Amino acid sequence: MKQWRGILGLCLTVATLAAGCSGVQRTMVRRHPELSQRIDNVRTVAVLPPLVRVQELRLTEAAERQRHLESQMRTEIQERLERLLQGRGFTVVPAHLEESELGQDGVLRFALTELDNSCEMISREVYWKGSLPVAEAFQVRSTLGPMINVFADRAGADVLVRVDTAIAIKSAGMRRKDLFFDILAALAGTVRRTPVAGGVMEVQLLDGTTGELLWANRGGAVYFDKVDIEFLNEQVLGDFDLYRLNEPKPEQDAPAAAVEATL
Amino acid sequence: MRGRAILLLVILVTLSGCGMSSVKPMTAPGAQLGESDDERHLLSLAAEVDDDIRRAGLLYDHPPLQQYLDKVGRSLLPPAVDGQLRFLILRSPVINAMALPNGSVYVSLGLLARIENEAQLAQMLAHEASHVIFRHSLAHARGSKAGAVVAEVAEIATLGIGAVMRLPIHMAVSGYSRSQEEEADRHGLQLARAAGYDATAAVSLYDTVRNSLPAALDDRSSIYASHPTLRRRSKYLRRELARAAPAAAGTVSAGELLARTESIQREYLRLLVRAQQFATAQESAAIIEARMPSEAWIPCLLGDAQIGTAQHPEAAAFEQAHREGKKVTDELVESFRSRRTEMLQTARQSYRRCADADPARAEAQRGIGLASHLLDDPAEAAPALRSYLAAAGAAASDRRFIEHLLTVRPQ
Repeated sequence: MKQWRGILGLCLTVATLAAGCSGVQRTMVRRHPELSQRIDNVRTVAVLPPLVRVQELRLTEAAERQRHLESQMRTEIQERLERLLQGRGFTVVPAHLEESELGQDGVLRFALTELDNSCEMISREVYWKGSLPVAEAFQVRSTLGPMINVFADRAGADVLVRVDTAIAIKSAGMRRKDLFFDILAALAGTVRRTPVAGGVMEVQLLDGTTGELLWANRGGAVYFDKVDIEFLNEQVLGDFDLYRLNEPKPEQDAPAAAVEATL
Repeated sequence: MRGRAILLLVILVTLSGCGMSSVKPMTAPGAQLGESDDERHLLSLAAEVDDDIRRAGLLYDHPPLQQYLDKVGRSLLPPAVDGQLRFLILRSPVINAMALPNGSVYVSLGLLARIENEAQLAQMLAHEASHVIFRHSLAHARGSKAGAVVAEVAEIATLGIGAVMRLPIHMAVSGYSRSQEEEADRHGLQLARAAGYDATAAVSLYDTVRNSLPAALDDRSSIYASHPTLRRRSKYLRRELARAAPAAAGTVSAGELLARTESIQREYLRLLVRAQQFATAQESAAIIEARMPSEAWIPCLLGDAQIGTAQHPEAAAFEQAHREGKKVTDELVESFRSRRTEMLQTARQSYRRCADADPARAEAQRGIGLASHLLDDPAEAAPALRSYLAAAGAAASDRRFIEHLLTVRPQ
């Protein structure tokens, strides 16, 4: 049900934005205040294996994971993200964290689980208030700390990208129930169309040296026909406004950026 | 109108009770796991959960403790189920144990770190084993919440592992019904007594767990509404014990349990800090230090929890709000933010205490360096960080970060 709570949260955010009561532009994007300086020093980026959880919601039973769909979507998300990053001038390097590469290494597997967990905690830290006024959202400081070094070193990456996606799809039984109520509503003169699926996605860019969150976005979508991961990607990555110029920059020592020390 | 609503509620409750079909226990003659399609489905889901846990590296590899757990666990099992259950350690600070229908019984590191004697361990393992023996998952799945048990276990164990690690307060979050929990408690007590464990010490399990949680949490001791609170479970077990035939005092083995679990206390504290349970970590550090006063790593991890509080005021606020059963507010976050310098100074003191106890300890220098850096005290930060890098050598997995700190000023 976590997914639906997320979608509800998104709807509330959209409603707040639409109301425009304060006239202040709000956003779900989060940016580190020094992002524009930092990004110029980023050459290599690795995409961590995307977390994708797909559940089928059933009328009479508990939701059940759809592992085959998860695997398909994981590949699709990763490829799309890598293309996007390459298009923006970054060199994409492999994270070397595929199942076959982890093998029997329980220590690395647990470190990855802890990394995921810490990323979730960062997410909670920066999103507990939902959307923020742009001026505030672009001054967000949050950090994982050096736990990221192991993964950045393994990939040889300046920055790591993490994607977390949760999708809920209604079963045929639930769709029939929805259709029944849609027809009832139509007979009563109301147009009603119930979505068959919904999803939420969050993307985080993390500094491979300091563990600081450089950029994040969270978005959601509901689907009336079938799940289209491309659309969900657009929702979240449409605001990905980071570019690295392709022209080689003169080799010089960049001024050391201020950094938060952490555990 | 209200009367009708109550009548309807009574009917619904009665019907849902009827939906909980009875299933032959594994100990019944001829009973076998996986006899029906629905049970085979449950078993396959449980196998997926086992696999997810293994792939996430959540199985805690500690051979001496594992052997001890196996020894205690197997001593409790009736011969008919011997070899069909596995006792495993979940690398999580959550105070929790859970049983999957395929016989996998997981005990969290957090729970092992907090219990006080072997009789309590026996009661807890016997309770979880009883869920498997009575095939509660199958009975529950055939009831009103079909499939919920494994789905919820899966959610907790893998999908929601982050959430679980953030909330190390739940006990036996396996989603069984209240009557099933009581049956498992009752039968678990019988198994523990039959194996020679002291019944009074065994039933103190829930008191120990309850005492290790903030008082406000007891009424929310489970994320499942149907789950009895720890207080209720403790009372239930005492009532059962009073009803049972008196028996001679049995094994308690507090000394052996404590000796066996000493080696996991450090990992338990580390996991609490990673899970941003900073207040719980600080309280636990005090308890552990009272037991093991000469261990230099304790003030170091205490320092980590204090730095964590300074650096993650939101997380500290979330934890406090949760412990008090309140909502997090801007004021609460701000109250932690305003104590940042004070917390960093306290952390530096803790690391200094660690360094005093063991001057060769690399993480003490690291902590002093980090706290000093954050306090904008480069005169103390730089030598401590350099000393850490020299002492840790190739073992410094955070070398990249530390070397970076040596080049920058904090903000």
